[in-house]
Amino acid sequence: MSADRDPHALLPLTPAMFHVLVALADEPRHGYAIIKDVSARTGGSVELGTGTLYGIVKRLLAEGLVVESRTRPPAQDDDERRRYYRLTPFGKRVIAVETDRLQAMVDAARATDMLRKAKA
Amino acid sequence: MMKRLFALLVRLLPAEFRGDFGEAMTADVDAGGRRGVTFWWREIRSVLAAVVREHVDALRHDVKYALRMMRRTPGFTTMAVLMLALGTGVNVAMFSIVDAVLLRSPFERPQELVAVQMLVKDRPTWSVPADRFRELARAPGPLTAVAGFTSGSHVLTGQGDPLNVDDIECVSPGIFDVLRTRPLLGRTLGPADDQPGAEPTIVLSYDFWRQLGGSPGIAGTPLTINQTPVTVIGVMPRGFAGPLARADVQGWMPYGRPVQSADNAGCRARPGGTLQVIARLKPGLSVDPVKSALPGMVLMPLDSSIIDDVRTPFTVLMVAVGCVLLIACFNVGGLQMERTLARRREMALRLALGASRGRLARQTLTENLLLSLAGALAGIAATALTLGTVVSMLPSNVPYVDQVEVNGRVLAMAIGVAAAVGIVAGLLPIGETRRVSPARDLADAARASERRGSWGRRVLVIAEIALSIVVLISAALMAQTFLTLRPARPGFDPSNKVVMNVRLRGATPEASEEFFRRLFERLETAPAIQASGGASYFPMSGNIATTSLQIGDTTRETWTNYVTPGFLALMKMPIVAGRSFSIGDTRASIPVVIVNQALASRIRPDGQVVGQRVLMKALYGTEANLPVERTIVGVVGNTRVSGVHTRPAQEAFVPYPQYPVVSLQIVAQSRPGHEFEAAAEMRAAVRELRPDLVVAPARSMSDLIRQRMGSTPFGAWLLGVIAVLAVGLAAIGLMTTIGWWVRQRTRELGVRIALGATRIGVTSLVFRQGMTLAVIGIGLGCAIAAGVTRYLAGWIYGVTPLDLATFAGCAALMLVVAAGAVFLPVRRATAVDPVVALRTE
Repeated sequence: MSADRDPHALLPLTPAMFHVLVALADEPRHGYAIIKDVSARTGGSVELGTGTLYGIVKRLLAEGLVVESRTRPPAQDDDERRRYYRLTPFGKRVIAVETDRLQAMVDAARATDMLRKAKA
Repeated sequence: MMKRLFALLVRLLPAEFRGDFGEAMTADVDAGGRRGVTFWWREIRSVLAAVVREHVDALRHDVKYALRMMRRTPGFTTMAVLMLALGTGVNVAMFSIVDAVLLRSPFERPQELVAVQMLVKDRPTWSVPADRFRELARAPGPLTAVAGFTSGSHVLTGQGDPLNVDDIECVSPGIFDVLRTRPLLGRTLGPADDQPGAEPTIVLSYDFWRQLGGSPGIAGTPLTINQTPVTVIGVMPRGFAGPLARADVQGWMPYGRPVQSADNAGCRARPGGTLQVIARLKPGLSVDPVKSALPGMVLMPLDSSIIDDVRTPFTVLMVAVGCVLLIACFNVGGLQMERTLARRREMALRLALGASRGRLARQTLTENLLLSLAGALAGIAATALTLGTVVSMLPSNVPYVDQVEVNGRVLAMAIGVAAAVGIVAGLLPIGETRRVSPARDLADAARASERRGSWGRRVLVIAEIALSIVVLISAALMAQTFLTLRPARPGFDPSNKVVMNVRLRGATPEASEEFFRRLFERLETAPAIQASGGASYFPMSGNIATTSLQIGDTTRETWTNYVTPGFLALMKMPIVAGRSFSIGDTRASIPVVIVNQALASRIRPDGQVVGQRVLMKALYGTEANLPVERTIVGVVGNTRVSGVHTRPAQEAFVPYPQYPVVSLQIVAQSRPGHEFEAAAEMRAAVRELRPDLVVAPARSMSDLIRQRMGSTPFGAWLLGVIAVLAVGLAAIGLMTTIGWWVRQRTRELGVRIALGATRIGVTSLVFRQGMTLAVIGIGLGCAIAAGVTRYLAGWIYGVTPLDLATFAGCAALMLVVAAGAVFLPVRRATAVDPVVALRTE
């Protein structure tokens, strides 16, 4: 279904949405793990509340960017109330094009004299 | 504690969101051990935001879905919106009238305003002696402000024809402080205007100001009243009609500086005269404790003394429109239930796909609310367009009628009603969604929807029919009342009659008797006039005089009319017992009186009063304390009192020669089609006798009465329309219900026909279904009506509240309507093709 969809149609993603997708990039995670991962990657500057997180997850599920993952850790490490999510191929394409878009914006900014001098 | 709060907030999330993520959210918060304040602050905020966001989101989806469903069934949507528009519309219209007449007061803090009345022989009367008023004004006790007023007759000249101005109130200047109303132009009366030597002043009512040209610079200009220049000092705002809300009031002059003319025109401000008194209570005081501080006086809320007359009619009308709305609600509820059943399969599918039952119920509720909101908007629009017409049909003596408008309160009421309607109409269908079962309904949708929900819908239809017949019976009782009393039969004959008021101010009884004798002589020879007579008032004229009438030990106040011997015959008022007056009833003969049937039946239940003696005493005036013993010589038929009251007043008639009053309403019977000439001849006759007398032009009695009644007997007319709406809506309800019953049983009917059932058999089967509901509804409705029509007793006349013929007639009418409503589904049932019906299986 999502194979023929244009990932650009969803851009730009909100920063919070982008962070959640990035947190799922390497492996399936449950909600708490996503919150911790986002916090760690941003040096604690983005702390998602559960209400915000699951609002985003609902939207990502509806758009087909993530799905619930059936693979769960062994029972002794698991809390059965948790839900695990992983990226879909379409989700991966969206995160890739969004990263490119952000990269292009950053590159354009860096190309200005002001930022080049500031870096030097 | 914070965990508990968090769990509570999670429960507030929409069921679907909670089902998907609630547990995971709790697990996330449980992970990671003890948390600090910052963490909880962030979590609580985030969940709260999610609660709002997700509910709004769900609502948006519901509305979108509901709109799609409404578009998909345009027939249902149109019908439902129309019925609800009708139901809401009549309610909005009626409420806007009731709001202006009964609920809203033109005065600031109306609950503090009271009428101060005197206790005379333990009965309250409006007339307070002037001295008592002055005492009260000096020492008001628990009252912050006290004001008195009286009326009188004035003559306005210099504005075209001389004009008798009968609606100027002579007031103490404090009245504007008591009522707390500011002038539109100029100023109101002050204490300086009330001094005996002050320059005469007047404050005009808005309508009278407009009648005089409506110049914004009118303050400071003089009017000639009673041959005296009187300065206009101000104009009151529109809608201010003095303490008694009399719509035709023309202005206010200071009581203490009356403008009397040589022939006694002006305020009734004699020494020893009386005033009507109103006052404002100190804030926070209620009427009861204040009473004891004012011995011999009674305080009545001012509002209740103004609107008591119209409270019952409007309450009845409000209840009736409420019934119409309820019937419309039930109809829409029934149709919605049918739709819910038809959509079982779809709902079962949604349930199977994970939608919660709560969500389905909410969906139905949203649809109903949208429908009722659309209905309310359409109803408000229709009301705004038609309210002016409805209001113009109300009689002008309904207080505050000029202030009817669709205002914020009315809109708020309409929205509130729409919400209630949405919920009421949604109850049954929502009940139905709870019975949807995916397993059964997906497997066999066609069969599962059969024979379900039918009892609920039948109850609705029975209730509709019962409600509508209650309204119908009430309307029929009212209609009969007004048929008995319609202008053509108000107990007298106003046709081809011309009326002119002639007042001989300051004349002695002898002089006035002589004047009127000569006047009638002249009128006898006038070519356009067939007959003439005079009375101190004519029926429905609104001006009356009261007398105390004593029989044995009981005393009662009655209206008393002083009439010329031929007056009763002239008005075609029938003598039902005894005799009428004759020219032999003079001052020298024994004093006599004729009473009307209402008074006769109060004196003796069997009405046999001829020959009985009564002691009569005028309450005011020069002969106030001279009781006269009179013999009842006859009983005359009742006449109608006004457009609003239908209960006849108790009236006594005294021959004018035995009590010569100075003011008579001269009534002339003109030759048909010659009213105009008759009027001119009356005026000429008066001019010839007394060229100096100011008289208002003669007017047609029919016109005067029509004006007084409003163009239609409004209560019966409105209630009739409401009854037609109620019956029509109930018929639609019955028709759709039986139609649905037939659709549900198409297969069964097909089988019956295939097995040889005759057309007549099928017809009677369906007919029986419909008529059973109708008969139960009618029976129930009649029983309810029998319980409630007694509240109409004071408002109906010529027919008892439990009039068998009315009940039977309405029941029969309803049966006919019901039969008509069932006819269409019957035709559909007999047209069932067994082959098609069985194939649908």
